[in-house]
Amino acid sequence: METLLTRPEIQSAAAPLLVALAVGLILRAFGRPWPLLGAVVGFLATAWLINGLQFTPLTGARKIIVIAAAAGVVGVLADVMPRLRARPVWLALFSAGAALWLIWKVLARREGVDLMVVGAPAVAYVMWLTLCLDFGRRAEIPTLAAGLALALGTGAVSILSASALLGQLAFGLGAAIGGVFLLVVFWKDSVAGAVFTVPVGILAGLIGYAGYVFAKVPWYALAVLAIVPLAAHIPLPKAWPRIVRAAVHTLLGVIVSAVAVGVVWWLMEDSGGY
Amino acid sequence: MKKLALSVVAGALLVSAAFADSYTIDPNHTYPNFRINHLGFTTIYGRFGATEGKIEYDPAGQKGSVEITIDATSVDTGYQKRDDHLRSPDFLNVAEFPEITFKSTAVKFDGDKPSSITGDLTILGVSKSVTLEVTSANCAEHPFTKKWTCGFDANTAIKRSDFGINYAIPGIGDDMELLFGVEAIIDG
Repeated sequence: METLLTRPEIQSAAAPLLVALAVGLILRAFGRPWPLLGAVVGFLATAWLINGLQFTPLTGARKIIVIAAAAGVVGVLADVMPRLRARPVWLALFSAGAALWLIWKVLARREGVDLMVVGAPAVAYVMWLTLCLDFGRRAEIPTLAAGLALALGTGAVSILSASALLGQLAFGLGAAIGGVFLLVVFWKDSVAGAVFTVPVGILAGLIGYAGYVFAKVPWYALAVLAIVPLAAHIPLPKAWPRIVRAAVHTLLGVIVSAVAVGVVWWLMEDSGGY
Repeated sequence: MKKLALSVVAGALLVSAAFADSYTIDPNHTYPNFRINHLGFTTIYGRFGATEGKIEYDPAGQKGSVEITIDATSVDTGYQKRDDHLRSPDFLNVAEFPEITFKSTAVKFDGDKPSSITGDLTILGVSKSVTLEVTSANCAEHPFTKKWTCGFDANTAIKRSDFGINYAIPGIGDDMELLFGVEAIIDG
């Protein structure tokens, strides 16, 4: 059993999917949008299997795990306060704080323009993805499709760009989104909610940007991935069955993600292992 | 008069014995190397190309200390793609932890030569006490620079998981050997 839990396909696919699905089914009794909390819980299952409960030294990857838990709490708070004034501002501030904390050790060694060149895009990227997903939360299928395509694209780009750890975390997020997506597809009365959009947007942004700062993810791959939420939200006829719309919205997002992955793949001198 | 001169010389020797000489590590002749098993097939060798540090050395008084700072980004295994991976969060995480350090806490001597150096090795912000076994040590005037130069070879074995580097264990070995070749030039 212990050996089984160390396998990447269990850690980053089967376990998060099943945990997200189970949490979604349990929380379904509480109505919308709580089942979608399964996405961040599924991600935390992946994080636990990969990292355990060790948080020292507090590396960037471990900060991502801490932020995931915090983002889940922020998402819950945002959903229990639907009339929260200036909601986008609060979410933007949380996203910015998370992005800066992630790369703080790197920022602390830089000054002036150099500091801005690393810090500003981090804030912009994480904030953009979080707010993009949150603005579209009432259209649950495109929002979940966007999260899924973002996570898968971020995972593939990370693995190709020299960080299996970040890739595994992103794929774990994707599998967890897949788990709750199954519920949404077959459950008509649902909205995405901040319990989904905040952790998923922040995690996709942080893992992607961590890949840029800590590994070799090229900035233009992130620029392409930033378009994923827009592509996944291209309107489709409402008359189409939910399962078809889910498939097409996901496909639209995945096509853009695939462009990012393809660019990274194409620019690699050698795609073989070592 | 002769007695006075002798006592001055003896006094000078005693004073010099009480103070260790200070040396600066020569980065062009100091390379921390490592070797690690790959998938049970072979041994991969690598080294760090950029190192700096100081040595205090007093063989007569059997005292010494070593401080070495290694630039983690300078890791080199002869294959760029693997080196990029070694710099990533999967292994050395150099963006967040750009330095590996070794600070001695005790140096043991066998006669007038060091036999082992115990100290704190810090990787990824995690410090562990390790003991380097000194396999050779020598001090002499450098034939080209004419400066007094000391050097030593030393090695130790560590488990990388002790420092939080857990990726791909056991495929890529947990046990790794560190082999230091150090050359240092006397200050002043």
